[in-house]
Amino acid sequence: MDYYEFVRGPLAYLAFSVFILGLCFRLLRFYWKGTNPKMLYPGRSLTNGIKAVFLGVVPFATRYMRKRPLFTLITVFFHLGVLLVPLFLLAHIILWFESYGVFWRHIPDGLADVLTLFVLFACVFFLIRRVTVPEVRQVSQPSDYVILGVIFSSFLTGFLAFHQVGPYRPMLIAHILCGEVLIVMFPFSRLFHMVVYPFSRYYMGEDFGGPLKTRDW
Amino acid sequence: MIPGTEADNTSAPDGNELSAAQYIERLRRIFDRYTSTRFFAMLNACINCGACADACHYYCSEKDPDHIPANRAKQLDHIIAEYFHPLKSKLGFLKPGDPMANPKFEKLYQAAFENCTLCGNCALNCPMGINTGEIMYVARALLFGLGKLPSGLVDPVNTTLETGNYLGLSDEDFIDTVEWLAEEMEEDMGEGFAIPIDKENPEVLYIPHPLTLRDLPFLLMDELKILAAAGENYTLSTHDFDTVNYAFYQGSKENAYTIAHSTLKAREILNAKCLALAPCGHGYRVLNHEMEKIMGTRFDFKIYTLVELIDRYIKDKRLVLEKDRFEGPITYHDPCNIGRRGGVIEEPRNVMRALTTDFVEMTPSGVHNYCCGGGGGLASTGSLGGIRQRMGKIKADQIRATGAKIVVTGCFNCKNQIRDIGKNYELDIEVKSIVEVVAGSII
Amino acid sequence: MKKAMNRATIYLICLLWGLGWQAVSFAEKETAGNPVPYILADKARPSPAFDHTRHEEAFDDGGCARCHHAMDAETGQLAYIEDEEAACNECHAAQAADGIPGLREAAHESCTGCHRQMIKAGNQTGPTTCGQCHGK
Repeated sequence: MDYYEFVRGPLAYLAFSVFILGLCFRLLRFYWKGTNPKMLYPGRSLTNGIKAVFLGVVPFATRYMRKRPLFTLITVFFHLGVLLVPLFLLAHIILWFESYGVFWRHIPDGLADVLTLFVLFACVFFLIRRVTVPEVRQVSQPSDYVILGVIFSSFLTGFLAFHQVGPYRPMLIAHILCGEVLIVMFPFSRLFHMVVYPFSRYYMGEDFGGPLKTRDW
Repeated sequence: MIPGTEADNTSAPDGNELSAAQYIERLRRIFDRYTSTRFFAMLNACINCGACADACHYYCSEKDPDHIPANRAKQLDHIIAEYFHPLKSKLGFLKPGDPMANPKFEKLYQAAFENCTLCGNCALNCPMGINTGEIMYVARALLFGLGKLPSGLVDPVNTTLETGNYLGLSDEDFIDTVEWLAEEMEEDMGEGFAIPIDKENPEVLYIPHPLTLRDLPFLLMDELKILAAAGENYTLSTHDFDTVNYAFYQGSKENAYTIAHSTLKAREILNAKCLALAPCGHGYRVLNHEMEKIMGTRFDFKIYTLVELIDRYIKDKRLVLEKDRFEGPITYHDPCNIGRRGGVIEEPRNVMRALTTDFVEMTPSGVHNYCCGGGGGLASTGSLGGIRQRMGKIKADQIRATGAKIVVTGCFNCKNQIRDIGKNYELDIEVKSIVEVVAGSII
Repeated sequence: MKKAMNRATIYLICLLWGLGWQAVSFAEKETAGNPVPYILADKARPSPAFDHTRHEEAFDDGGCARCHHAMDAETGQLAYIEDEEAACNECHAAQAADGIPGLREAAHESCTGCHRQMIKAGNQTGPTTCGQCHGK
């Protein structure tokens, strides 16, 4: 059995299906459970909700970001790397093209290299922070370390495979496997915050920023 | 009963034992009623980053993992996973046990009633915008259904539901006190000074705090002095003279509605243009913001806390204050329910600046000011006094850093709490309500 | 002050976003003889080592048509024209043009496409992963 074809074909298909279905299911679940007409919020504010969502990612727009400047910078570029590289790396786009004929613009490989190295550095930084800073350590659960490990190994194996350091096929298969584990973990772990962020931040903004006019940005 | 809803039937059991299944049924009803999409979005959003920790006055005063807001939310998460999981809670062997015998509910009780004042500071520091105060409110609602409440939140509410105010004062007591006050105030305000009661069609219906009717009448004197000096067309009312609404802190929207409804009804009966409340933190927030959410409608009249009116009077020159009648650096403590969760941040500061040239701000101030530790229903339960004092350490540090001699605040519970903090942490401060300093500075 | 800072940061982000798209366009230009900063460089992969003899032997039964095709002037279709077998890059330029797919697209379709079909059929065949063809 050709392992590469297996992880790149049926297993990837399965992973993405679990990813999409899992995300939809989890999102819909709290919509169903939460529709409670008796708890209406007449004092809402659309503009403040949307402002809260956007300004929550603009570096130094909110107070908690200004309190932690180094962490803010590292996490912004970390998220930039984690979003840009899997979606806009040429090698990944070629795989999508081979499977489904879709193609979109890609980032330069040099930039991908720099972002990957930064993501690796940021993972180490987060790990050290999670272990040394007391309040973060006291709030961490095992899944946090697992997620960091999976992201780190995905980016590491990808980087090594691209530069063809070490045995190529095993490295590539390991990279694809790590990526699939990450994708499958999405709907069932804290990584779900990617989808929840606009909701929770919007609700906070419309409540605090609207009728209350108390904002953190 | 809240209009537009069916019978609630989630009131606390009256001491009679229910079976485990009945308790679980209650919990389910409360859960279905009190949770919303907002709640689930917030519960599912935590990324364990730890940013909430240094916003919580509990953690800043005593660095204990239980005091991190994210960990409190996790307590509720465990219970929801155990009792309301769509699959697991229905399978035979995984069925949840008797809630009354479950130690998780003890931990939840601590997290919700003892370790959280619902101040909402964590929400403003969370990258995901999670309001642990709201999550703990749902926890309180669940515990209410099991009858697990601190004693200080049971009797005052029952008294209010029976008599209309939490101290059990009768209408005659009220009228007697007010008439006596009017006599005392004739000295300052002139012969024939009268305090209107149940006047029809006033501008402002003023709702005092019952403590000022029984124990601290000079504060009520100050409040009425301000209103009279500004020439306001106000009235008091025998239909409702209680701003306090501890039922909200019980976790029961039904009870909170019943109590707040009498205030709204009083305004309707007298056809007042707006409501003004004595300095009372949660009373203002519950009436102004939470009632609209519970009833699902926006009010077509305004609700003010007295500070807002004072600010307006000063701006309109209806009230003239002499500056610097009070000495020393003066600082202002924002009550959580008036400042961060009420939206009244600039008005008290305008008033302070009109009162004194020596106004210092705490760090952080305004919306990000720390909770004093006396809110959330903690102040009314004596046994929680120890916790309140321990968790007031960060407030004491803040006050000490300003070097202030007088701390002014706009909420009774804050006033008492800061006074106790001053004693316990040996701060050389006087704590005054904002009405005291304003009334004492009127020319 | 806070408002001004927020606005400034938002403009900065928009500027970076715009520059980012410019970087992407840069990356698609040929870098031959045109030194481009590392962060914007598209590193072309090494050319594959292609063994024609091996493929000849594999398609011994006149399977030249499998890879070699040219536009037949009469029928307007792609067909195998004997003695006019050209190298791929004679028609397929780096970018797609005039309905002719780009070199990368054509090569991947031709080479890895066939390899993957053979794997499905259970036969021994050449590589399908990036680095095995474009090896260092």
